[in-house]
Amino acid sequence: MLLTAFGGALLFASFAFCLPEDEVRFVVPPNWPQPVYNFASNPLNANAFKLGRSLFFDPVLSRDSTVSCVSCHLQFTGFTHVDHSLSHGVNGLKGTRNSLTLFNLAWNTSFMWDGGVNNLEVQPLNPITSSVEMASSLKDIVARLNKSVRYKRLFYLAYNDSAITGQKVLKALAQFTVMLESYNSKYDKYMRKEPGGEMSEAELNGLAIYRRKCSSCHSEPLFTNNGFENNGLVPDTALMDIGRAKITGARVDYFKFRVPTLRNVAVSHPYMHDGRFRNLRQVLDHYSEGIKQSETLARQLKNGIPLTEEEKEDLTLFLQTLTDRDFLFDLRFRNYFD
Amino acid sequence: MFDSFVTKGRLDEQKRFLTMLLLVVLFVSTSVSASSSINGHSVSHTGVLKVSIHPVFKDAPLQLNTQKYVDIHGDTLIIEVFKTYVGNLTLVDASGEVSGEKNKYHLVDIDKATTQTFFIPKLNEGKYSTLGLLIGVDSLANVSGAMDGDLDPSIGMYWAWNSGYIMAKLEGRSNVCSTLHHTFEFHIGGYIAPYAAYRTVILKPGNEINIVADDTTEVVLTVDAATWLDSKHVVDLSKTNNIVVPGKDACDMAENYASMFAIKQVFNP
Repeated sequence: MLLTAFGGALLFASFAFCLPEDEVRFVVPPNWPQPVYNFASNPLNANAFKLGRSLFFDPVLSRDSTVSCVSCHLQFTGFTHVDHSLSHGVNGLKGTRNSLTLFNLAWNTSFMWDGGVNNLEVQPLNPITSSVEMASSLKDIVARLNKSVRYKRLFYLAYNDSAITGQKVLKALAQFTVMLESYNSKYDKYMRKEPGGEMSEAELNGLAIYRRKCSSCHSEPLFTNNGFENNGLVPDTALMDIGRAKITGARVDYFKFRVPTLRNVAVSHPYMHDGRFRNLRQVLDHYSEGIKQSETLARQLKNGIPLTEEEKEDLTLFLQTLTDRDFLFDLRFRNYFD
Repeated sequence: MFDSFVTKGRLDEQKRFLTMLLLVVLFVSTSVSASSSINGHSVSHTGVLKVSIHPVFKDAPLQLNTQKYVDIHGDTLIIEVFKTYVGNLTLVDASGEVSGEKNKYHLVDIDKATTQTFFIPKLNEGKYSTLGLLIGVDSLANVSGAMDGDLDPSIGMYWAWNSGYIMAKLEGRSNVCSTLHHTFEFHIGGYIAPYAAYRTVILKPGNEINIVADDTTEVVLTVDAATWLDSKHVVDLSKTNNIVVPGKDACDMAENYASMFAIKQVFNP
């Protein structure tokens, strides 16, 4: 028992996929499952991480050089956008879904609201090629980067080879996105019994309500079970987004969407795949009083999740303890020009 | 703070490089001592197979864009794009011994002559009665993230919205297609059962394929675009002219293209 605790602490302190230097390391927090991402196929390397960061912030990825990853994925909000419901792309075009937060992606078993992407490394192909997002192609991006003296140098530093390929672009982006980890919220410190983890009575009551009523889908410690559910939203008739069924073609998957993580949820509004709810209050009202019955509705929601006024308040206070300021203000994830 | 981070990164690179160098030196010195024990020089028991692929439409050579062909319904068509992955070529002899590639894929593009010839090195010498190959890319390669070479997603044979490789593509035009510019477009993919679109093909040469040490054997394959439209399933271009997602239609097409390869000739050394 003591040995396990010691082993866990050691694991936490020095972990596994880390580089010898402090700044670029991947951590598996104590009591978390092993990551899904195959680090062996993309060994972490400080220069490749920096290259991935440059690409993440660079509008060169979009056809008219106006849109970068960060256009829709801002650090302060958990790497999503907060000012509008649906994502914007080139030429002011509007997408059909609300951008997801980006962190703890090493534990994702699939990506996007419909789970259509099967590996972190190939996820960027989706926004890159979408006509309402970056409207470009990996081939064009590789051609552009191969003309850039700055990028030739960065690729050389990362891979000892200045020849830029699609594979290297995607692996470098994954070096950056896999490193976006959030595990230092007040809730985490409470769980680890660390200073800063002192929860109020209301927050603790919120945690208990969450565990009783929300955790079967938004399971600890990642606050998602990586599944897809229909959470009782009335389908938007303008979008007619069938969600997961678009990928599987299966009737049982109609109107199901990714169960998003609740970590950093207080700063990543608006909510739902189409961004229809502006604040947590609207979300809780939906689960409590707004569930629409349908064939594919999650079984846990058949009777809704009735919540009293006080329960809604405490739950909101608990959800705020999932905000991780260490992550949201981590200088490693800012835009640097090397 | 950030500058010191950069410096640290480079120092680590140097340290790691020196460690690697040491390991490489150790490895080379052990392997040299191992091979020198075979009478001072190594003896090869492997040969090379040259694979040449000739595109056809039934009995006629396939020419993209210009040549008109007639399908089983009597409809005239032209073909503009024809690409397919060919992977894991293996030879099997009468006793069941196997020699060949593993997890190796070649993108054959009928518009690029250089992709229609490739070499398979290090095949064990012997007489082989069967040539096996995979049309498409197997499921492991479909879930393993960003790949390189012919599997690089920048080549345009990878789907962004629903991860996975396009195993093979056939595009063209026929006046019976009521689509814009009368085009037909078949992008066949999908790696998840029951709609996996890769197909294992076993080909039997008329005479044995003889692999000789330090020599090259050539096998000439034909790849017949007509099988896409008329094989196990008969395709009517006026009705079926656009398959670009995994599913039953894509699988039916995969059952058709499973018969597109045939051995035309074998040139033994």
